[in-house]
Amino acid sequence: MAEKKKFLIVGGGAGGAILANSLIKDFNVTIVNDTPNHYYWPQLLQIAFRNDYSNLYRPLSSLLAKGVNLIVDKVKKVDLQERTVTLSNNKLMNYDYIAIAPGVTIEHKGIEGNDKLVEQYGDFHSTPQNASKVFNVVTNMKKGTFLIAVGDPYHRCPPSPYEGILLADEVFRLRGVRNDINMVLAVPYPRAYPAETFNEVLEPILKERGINVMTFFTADKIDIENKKITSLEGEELSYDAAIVIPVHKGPKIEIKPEDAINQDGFINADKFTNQILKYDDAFAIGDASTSANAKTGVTAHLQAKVVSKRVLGFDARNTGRTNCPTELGFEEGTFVISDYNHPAVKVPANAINFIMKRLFADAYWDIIRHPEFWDPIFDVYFENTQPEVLWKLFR
Amino acid sequence: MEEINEAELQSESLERLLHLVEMVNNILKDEELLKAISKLVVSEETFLVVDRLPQIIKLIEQLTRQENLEKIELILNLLQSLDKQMLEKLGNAFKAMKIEEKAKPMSISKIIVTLSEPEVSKGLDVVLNLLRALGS
Repeated sequence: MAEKKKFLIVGGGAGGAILANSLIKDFNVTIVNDTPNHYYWPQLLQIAFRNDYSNLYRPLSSLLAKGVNLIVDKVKKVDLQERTVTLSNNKLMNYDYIAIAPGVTIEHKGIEGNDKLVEQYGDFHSTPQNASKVFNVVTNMKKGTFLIAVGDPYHRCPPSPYEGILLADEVFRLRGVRNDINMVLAVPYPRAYPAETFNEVLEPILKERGINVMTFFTADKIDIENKKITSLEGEELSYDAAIVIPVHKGPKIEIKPEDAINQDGFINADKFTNQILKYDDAFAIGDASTSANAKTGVTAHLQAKVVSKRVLGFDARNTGRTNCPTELGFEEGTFVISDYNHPAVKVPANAINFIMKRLFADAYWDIIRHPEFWDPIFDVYFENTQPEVLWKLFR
Repeated sequence: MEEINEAELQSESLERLLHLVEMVNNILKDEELLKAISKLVVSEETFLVVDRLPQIIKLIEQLTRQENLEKIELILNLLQSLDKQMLEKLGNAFKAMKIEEKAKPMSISKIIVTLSEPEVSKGLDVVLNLLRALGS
């Protein structure tokens, strides 16, 4: 029997772990992750607005199929030409195939003053500690202006600022202080949600809930002392409590050749195949790659499946499918569903979509651990909920 | 060797079962999910449905008889062939009929004048075409 080829995966998030578990039968798989744990990042919203830590993380080793080698270490350098990976202790590893999926780096300092603002009010894109600060704010604030501003349009989970403001609204209403709190959502786009079609679903909900939307506002500078945020466009907003979605950058890994990464550190990968430049043995998946049209776990999941099929000789390609479950508060939810050929479908807000969202989250660990069980279910789900099909239902 | 394989298989099956139990446990601990399901299930509408369940079941039994299924399919085909705008017009005409019920009978001269109106003429054409199709 021929020896299995070595497949090295950098990063044990949704994309990396699913890829490892999908390849284990055919490859000698090693996964390098900088922490022993796998984090479910959407849980930060649940911590921020519900103080619910239950689904935050699991030991990565418990999510990997038998036979996958796990190394907990930081990757310093990847040389695609030499087919080598250097770990923090300078240990050199080689590979036959590599998938780079380490996720993003959050840079609070990317917006002047945001590092100080996050110390005061927290956020729901960086750490559980910062999400916990948000919970402290929304459960204690009695009056004034509560502001969520988007500083980086390419942040993780596109619907998250909207989920944040609507879940905060839910908390304020349940606490009976909503009438004394002015809620503002400031976005860089010409409308509340960047995709015009999905905006038709979201904007009426924001309006109905009394949330003021400030458009063409890209948070640029925060004046902590005077509690003011200035935008790139020159506008100014005052706040009593504020969260600014931080700048997201690519991973802090040196990648050779240099043209494999763009100016923000994201890895240049083909949007259909995830292949890095001309290297047919190297792929980038998930948030760290330029191929992700939405920085979400579902995108990473689908890209991992494409890569796992491609290395087995199939001509699998990404369709650009997004499937972002979106919580709107008060047991209502919707989904942002689109692909390269179709704009986001106008999926209506209702309780069923909320239930679907929660079920996806509750099944998350099993989905990562057992792709062989979930693949047929998701194949049917993605086939039957293709944007092309849904557009006929929700015009 | 076989014994080891058997033991391994059993251990893997047990592990799979535990993972499924963990997932079910996650679902059962999800307060937000359970709240949403409860709100959906425990509502005035669902109580009404439960109350009328015997009638609903009887109706479903009648509807799913072969001869009725064929008729339903024909009605569905008919519905699909109908133009939405035409149906709206028809609906509006029926609403107008209700209002007109209280109106006085029309004189022959008014009938002639009405017949010359383009809308009435178009409607008459539709009705005549329908009558022609039924008679053919």
